[in-house]
Amino acid sequence: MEDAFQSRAFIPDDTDTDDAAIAEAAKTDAHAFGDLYERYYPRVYRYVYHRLGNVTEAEDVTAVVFMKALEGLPGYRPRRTGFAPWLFRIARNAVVDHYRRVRRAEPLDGNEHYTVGDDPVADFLRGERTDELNRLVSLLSGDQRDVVLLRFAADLSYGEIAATVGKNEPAVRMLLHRALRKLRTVIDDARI
Amino acid sequence: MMPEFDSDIEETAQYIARLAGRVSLDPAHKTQLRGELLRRHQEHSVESSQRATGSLWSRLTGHRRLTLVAPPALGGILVAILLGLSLAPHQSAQAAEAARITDALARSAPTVTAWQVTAQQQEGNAANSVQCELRLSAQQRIYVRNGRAYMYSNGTWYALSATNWATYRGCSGEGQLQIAFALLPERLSRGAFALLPARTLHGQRVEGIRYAASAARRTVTVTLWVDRSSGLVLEATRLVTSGSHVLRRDVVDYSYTRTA
Repeated sequence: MEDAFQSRAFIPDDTDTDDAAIAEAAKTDAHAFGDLYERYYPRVYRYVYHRLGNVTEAEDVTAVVFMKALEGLPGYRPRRTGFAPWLFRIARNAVVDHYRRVRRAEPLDGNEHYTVGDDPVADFLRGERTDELNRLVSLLSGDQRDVVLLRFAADLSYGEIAATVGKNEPAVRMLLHRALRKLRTVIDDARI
Repeated sequence: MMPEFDSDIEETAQYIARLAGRVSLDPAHKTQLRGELLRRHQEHSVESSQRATGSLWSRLTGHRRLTLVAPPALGGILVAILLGLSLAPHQSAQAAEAARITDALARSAPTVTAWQVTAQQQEGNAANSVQCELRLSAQQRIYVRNGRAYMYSNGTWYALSATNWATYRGCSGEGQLQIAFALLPERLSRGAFALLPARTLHGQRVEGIRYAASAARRTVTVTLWVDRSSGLVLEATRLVTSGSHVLRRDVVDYSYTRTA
């Protein structure tokens, strides 16, 4: 079944140095901006999609992210921060803005609860429209969820995640390890 | 190369990484957005003072689609091949029985239009009984293909797995037990189960399938009593223990409404 899905393209760790240079060029060169877009569209989309669990919303928010990146590019300072953390800060903020605008609050702590008398089949099908990872990370705290998705969906390094979320690298590692331990328990339970 | 995570969570990390990669990108959206961005970049270059975002979203209509499992194309052929292989003489009696039950389910599952669940739960001194019915609409059917169950609903296929059903609490509080018959092929394909001697239940000849797993100092033992002819689960018991202490017991009875 996994064959039905596209596999991830991992981007080498040293791309951010190149990206900073390309971002500098992209301030005036549309082709350079196009190169950045090609590199980052899948990572941004995956991150946003797993945060929202909905294709239509993920496409719209991804569009917002790149539009804001385009607008903010003249103010981007490569020496201050890498391009990936800069872009994913925009992505995180765009997701939060989306929740504020559309959903009012993130429905992300705890499972959905079922009320007797509802239709469980319809409930299941609604749930299937969100993805499995979205459901799993919904069991994590906000910080843990963010770190997991920045690591695995956005393919950011620990240093990049730290710069994105404003924590130090050991704190990011700790968050990720705790999150994975919690997920392991949930997944083990699901396998029972 | 050093592993990134401690050994106890490395497998979980790999699983999460695989899930994170399970995203289909819509090339049309990507191309459309790129065109829009490059057009705006040109505008920014010409009029650097312009910062209006405009109505991008209104132009990004169309090409909507859900990220779903692929339909089990050629599933029937695969099932035939797999069943043929699994019934080869060198296979164990248990594997052959698993294949036989899966085969029976492949025939009976599409005939199920509704099923009634009666669950008796006991946890500590608290006991509870719940009844509910799960109904499929006229456009919904459950199929078993290649050792997995799928729900076909209004032209779209959904995989039914222990994982994606686990987070549903459902009317009995145990989502997986509610749809036990559909999760049975997946369980049987894993092979880690014991066959219990056949018995009679509500006038039907049933055989028992038992499996257990431990996590977080708990052991969960599930016993399914399966109708020999249809492969449908007629009764399930789920026992959660910690050492010799029983934490919870669920006994679930099923009855099915089927098309002729």
